[in-house]
Amino acid sequence: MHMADALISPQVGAALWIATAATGAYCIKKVQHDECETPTALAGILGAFVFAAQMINFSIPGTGSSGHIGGGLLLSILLGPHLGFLAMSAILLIQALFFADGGLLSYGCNVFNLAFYTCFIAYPLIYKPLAKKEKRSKAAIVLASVAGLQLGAFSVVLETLLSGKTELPFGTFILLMQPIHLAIGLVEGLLTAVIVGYVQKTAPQLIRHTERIPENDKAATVRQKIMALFILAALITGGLISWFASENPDGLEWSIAKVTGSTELSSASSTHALFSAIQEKIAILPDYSFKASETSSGQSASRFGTTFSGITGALLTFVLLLLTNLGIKTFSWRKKPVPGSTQRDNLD
Amino acid sequence: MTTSTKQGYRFRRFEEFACISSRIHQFHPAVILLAAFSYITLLTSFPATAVIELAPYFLFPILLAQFARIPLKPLFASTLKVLPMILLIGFLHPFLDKELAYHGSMELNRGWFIFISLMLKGFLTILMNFLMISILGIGGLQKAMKSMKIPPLFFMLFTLIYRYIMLLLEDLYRTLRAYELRSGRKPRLTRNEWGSLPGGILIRTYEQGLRVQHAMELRGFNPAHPYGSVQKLSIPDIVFIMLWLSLVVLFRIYSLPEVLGSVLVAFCGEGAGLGVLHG
Repeated sequence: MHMADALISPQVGAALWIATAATGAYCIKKVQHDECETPTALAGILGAFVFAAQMINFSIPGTGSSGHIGGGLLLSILLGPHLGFLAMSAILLIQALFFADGGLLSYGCNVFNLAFYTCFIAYPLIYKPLAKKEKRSKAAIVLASVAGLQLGAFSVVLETLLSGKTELPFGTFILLMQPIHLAIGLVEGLLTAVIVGYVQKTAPQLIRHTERIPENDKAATVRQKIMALFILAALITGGLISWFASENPDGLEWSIAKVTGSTELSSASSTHALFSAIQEKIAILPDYSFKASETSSGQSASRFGTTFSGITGALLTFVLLLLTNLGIKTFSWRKKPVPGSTQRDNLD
Repeated sequence: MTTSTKQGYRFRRFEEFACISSRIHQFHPAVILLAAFSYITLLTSFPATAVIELAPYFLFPILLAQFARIPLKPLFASTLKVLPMILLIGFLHPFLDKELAYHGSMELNRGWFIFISLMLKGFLTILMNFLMISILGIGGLQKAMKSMKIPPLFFMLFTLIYRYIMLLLEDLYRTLRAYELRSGRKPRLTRNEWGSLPGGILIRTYEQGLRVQHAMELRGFNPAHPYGSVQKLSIPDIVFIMLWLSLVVLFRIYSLPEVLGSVLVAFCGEGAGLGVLHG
């Protein structure tokens, strides 16, 4: 699922680079502040294990084909999501530079698709709540692996279409990507579950979630459930309900139209013209739809465009919220400790 | 040769290329990284149907490899091996996009132009990527990260993973070889061994990692303060990167083949006109 540089536009590449750098910076801060975090050398060797383990071919019964383990989830389970994300980012950099699995420009996209979703969505929101009971641990891994890979595959489609490097229709591309990654996710999840199951039996101290989530931490579980519901609601609202969005002008546009005869205000100033031209160049989804030149005309294309912008908007809003939250937390860490209070108090 | 030994061979080959002595190898690592990044960014900024405009971009990797004394043949071979992944996405275009497009007087389905453009961009970006890592090697890359103020924790993790991969690949090769010999040459793990074989390697790796960590800490290792000085930018570094950036941007703004073509046509036309006049 690694994206090549040729499939990415500089705008999309830069945006995802920024998002990845921000997430990486947050993870580094978190790792440095977390006293009980796993040591670097250990994280390094486990990262190398995940890389090397990709070479092992697991035969899938009845299909004649083979699969390999899902790295992001395994690293999150063993190292925690923050160090897991950093280790996964380092692995992806090695893969991009030495094996051209990905590329320099598309590095941000690949980290986001393969590490962010597994470490920060699938692991905390699906695996951790479900794996509290040992019986459900395998199912949790399979489910988390499938969800992480599905989100990643969907992101690949979005990033490719936003880049405008290919002309594959949204529907066709989605139909090509999602089902195959459902199968891959199931296989990867199953393999990871078997390995984690083995480790849980022989060396249970290596599995991280048991020490990370206390059984009585109800508030954390509720928070995770709310987050999961929010993501689901945002995707449904953006993806489906936006189909029924009115194509008529909104209140402000309606008022302007009554006064000037057009929904857009025109200006003769050169500054306005300059910024309009820049906006036209960089706007990926003008008027919440695809650029006219990039898709075939017609109602279906317009509907896909609306769905597409709805989902993208919802995801971007979610990412923006996360980043704002991280920014606030980072800022609060820098505050000088109040005399008499511990460092942990200040972090909270 | 098994996959694990092939991977190890590839790592070693890049390291060997990075040890070559040339003027390019002496440039500041961050300059090489910036050169590669700018090249890839500008190349991918061309429209989806651009084909002829990409031709001048072949010059950069070829000349860079020549100056760096790196053989192009193995780099071409490695690049071509990765291209089928882009081919998978590209080959659908000629069938899906049948709108006519023109390149000068050439008329072809738009899908074909997109397909060719995608393949060319893919080839050139991957080639530049391999070339950059052949010049820098892991040491150069680490120095580049350090000079770019990337947090030490990340680049230490990156370097450690890279170094351990070499050890683990050899360990993995031995384990898989033993499995192959004892299982009657089965190429893949059957369901019974899904957990035990990789799980065993994982536990062994974890314990080894802890031992390495303790040994490093006893010797004063601190990931926040890595050793080694940062190379300073020199005048040749600045001249090289300015020249590189100007050429890359110039070829992005002006299409060299079109300019050369129009000059040639004007020259020939003038010559033909003069010939007619003289005749």
